[in-house]
Amino acid sequence: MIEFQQVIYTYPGQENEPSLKDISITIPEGSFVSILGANGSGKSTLARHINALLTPVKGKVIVCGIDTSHEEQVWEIRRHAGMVFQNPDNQLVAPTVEDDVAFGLENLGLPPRDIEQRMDEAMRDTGVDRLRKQPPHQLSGGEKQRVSLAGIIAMQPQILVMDEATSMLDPAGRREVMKVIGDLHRRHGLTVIQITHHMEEALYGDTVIIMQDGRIVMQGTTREVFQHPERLLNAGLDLPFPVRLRRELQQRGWPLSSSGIDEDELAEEIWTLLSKS
Amino acid sequence: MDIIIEKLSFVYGHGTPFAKKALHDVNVHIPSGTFACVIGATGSGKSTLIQHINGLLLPSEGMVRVGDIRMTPKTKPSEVASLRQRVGMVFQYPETQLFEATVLQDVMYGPLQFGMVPKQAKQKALAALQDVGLDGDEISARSPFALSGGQMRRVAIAGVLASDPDVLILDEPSAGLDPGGKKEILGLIAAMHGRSQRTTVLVTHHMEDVACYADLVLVMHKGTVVMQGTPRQVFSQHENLQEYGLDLPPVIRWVHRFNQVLKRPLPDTILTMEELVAELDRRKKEGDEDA
Amino acid sequence: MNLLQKMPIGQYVPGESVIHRLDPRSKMLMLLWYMVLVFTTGEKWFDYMILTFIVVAVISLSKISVRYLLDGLKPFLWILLFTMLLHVFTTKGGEVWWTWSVFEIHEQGVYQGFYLSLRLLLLVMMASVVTLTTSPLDLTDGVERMLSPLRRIGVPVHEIALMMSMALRFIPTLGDETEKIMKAQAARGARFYEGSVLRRLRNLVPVFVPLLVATFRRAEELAVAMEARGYRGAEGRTKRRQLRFTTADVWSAVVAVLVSAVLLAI
Repeated sequence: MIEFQQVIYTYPGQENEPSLKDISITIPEGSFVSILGANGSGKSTLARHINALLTPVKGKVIVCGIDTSHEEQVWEIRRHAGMVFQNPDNQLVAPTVEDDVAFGLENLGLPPRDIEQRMDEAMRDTGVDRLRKQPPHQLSGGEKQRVSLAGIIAMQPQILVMDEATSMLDPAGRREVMKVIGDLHRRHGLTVIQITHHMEEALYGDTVIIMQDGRIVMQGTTREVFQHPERLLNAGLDLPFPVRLRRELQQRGWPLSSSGIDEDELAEEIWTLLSKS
Repeated sequence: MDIIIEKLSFVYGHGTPFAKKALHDVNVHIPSGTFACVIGATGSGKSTLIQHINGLLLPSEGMVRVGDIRMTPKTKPSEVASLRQRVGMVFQYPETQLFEATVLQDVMYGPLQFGMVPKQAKQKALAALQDVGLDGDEISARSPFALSGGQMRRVAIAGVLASDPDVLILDEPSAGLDPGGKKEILGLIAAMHGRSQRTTVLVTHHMEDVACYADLVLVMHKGTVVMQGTPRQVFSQHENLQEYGLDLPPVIRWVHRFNQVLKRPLPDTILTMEELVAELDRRKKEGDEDA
Repeated sequence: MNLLQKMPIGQYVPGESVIHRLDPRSKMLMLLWYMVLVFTTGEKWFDYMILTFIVVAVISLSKISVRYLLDGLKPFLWILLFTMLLHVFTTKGGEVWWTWSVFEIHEQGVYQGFYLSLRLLLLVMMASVVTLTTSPLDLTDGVERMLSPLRRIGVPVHEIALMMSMALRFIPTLGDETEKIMKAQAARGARFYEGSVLRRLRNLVPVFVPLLVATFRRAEELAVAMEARGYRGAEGRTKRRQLRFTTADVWSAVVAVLVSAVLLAI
């Protein structure tokens, strides 16, 4: 479980303009949360509080029962909460895939035999085992991000934070990564927190948090949040295609409900209206 | 300027043990003033192809003609230097090329390299900044490294525009930006295209942009152009696109799915949201009248 | 593909030969041993035959293509030629074989030039075999292990090894990046291959500044990513890669001792 209690954060040198303004949320274990918001809305700052890369200036963040401001527990927190970053090139440290996946395990001080076993498992789960001997610079963006992912889940965290981890990938790479994340979430009950600009990816999750200007402006189940297209637009966001089409038709007086957010639900409603008339 | 490519092949590291064929048998015609989009999966050869248009790469076989400049395997790199000015190229993540102390100096770099006098270069630079929606007075003296990501991207694009190219090539200019930033950049590019006689070549993964803006679509697969035509022509070939690892624009994908439950399918010429909404509306009114 | 990948010098060629499978530590020790042999041997042709034979034997055991090996030595040939000529023209002693104006070639000069070049050639060939048959990562591991006693006197052995392995990871990436930036600036009219040396150097500014900026940003992001993955220095850290001496290592040590004995005896 992750708990933010009235968190305020200001970057050094920007004391007048807090990046997080009084954030309070609770994220239960096993959820799949999407955090959306325009650039500069504070999403990444929020994410970096979850594994104690940043700690609140005011307020408290509690991750798996540990207060992140306890410096001596920082490494314990990072073991529970892994993070994949945006640039695939700037998080792989070792000259081969398998050595990179082992990096975090070596940091944990595990015996070589355990490292080997966990490494194999993580590479299988992320589908990169056939790349194990390859140098990272020869991989595609999607492959690199899956290797990063393997390195994180090998450490067996309870929480996975994806900080715009798909934003530099092409559509095929994005799909690969999202599929692996979905699998891990379902099979291992991993809590996933993803920051994304891709509205279609947000539909994967069960909860959506919308940030704007350092505050949480909306929060709810994916279905609830996408029923309010205006508020999404106000926060500088796009709408997923079905939500956009529904809105266009509603504006032209179509008596459509607002609850369906996926393409099939919408198709069915439209079909009913067309064939009734 | 017309762009004509005939039987183009290109091999990286020609004559070394690391030689790798990147393009083969590419035939393309992009008429002057066209807004062309190049689509294709990663590794299909898009970047290699566009670098032939401004002579950064020269053909291993075949011919590339841009305006009145012809490039063949015999052409020397020094012969195509003038082409670089007439064909502007915006690479992926162009903000990584910024280097000068001020925005203005950076945008002036291209024009000065191409031999304009400082006064003219400054004029062009200010005009280019305006073209990308930045306020020259406010921004020109600032360091490019102190700007936001979206602003840096625009300054870098201005740095290419300032040389006043006849052809503008952009390799995924909106990659990595947030939804607002993406829309703005694409809007700018479309507006600039509309204002000028310029030929625009856009490499993109964003099928909706292709549907909205392209006059001509080039589809690349495994090192060659496998389809070229209007967005309507190209997107009507669902199966082929799927085989090439490409998505359909959401509107077309949805129409396709929706048509499977309709007795009277929607026309497959629908390309954009406006067209879809209009068609659905028409259907509904028809039905209302019948009833 | 970038410039660095086109250079064959010292590039690891994967394989399964006996030499490939030797522990990197024994390979490095053997190289050291060979170096000592080469430089302690007098100018006796029989010794050189044995030394040459060792190199030839090791090369054939490694199953590396001789052509590939020699290709990699090409840039080295100039140094060899230079050393040879330097000795031929400057060393005096023995019979004078040739004179022209102030130049003289002595018997000793020719001998010394020849032997010294031969020594260098043998050494470089042996060193190439080591780098060609050992992955850079294994070399790094070997260095780390061999230097680890120095940790007690405060040498940051782990950090040095990590730096080496990160260099291995990022050199190709930086090569690609350099090429990309050069292309982007070339598209804006930069000309890297024209004009005086000074001009060319100045033309590199648009490449170096962005490269520097990108590298700093990369370093920063990497540091954060490493921290997020629990990296906090050597303390409490284990290593997946374990080095183990095998029978092959024992055998190569035996051979080395025998050869040394023979060379001492004669």
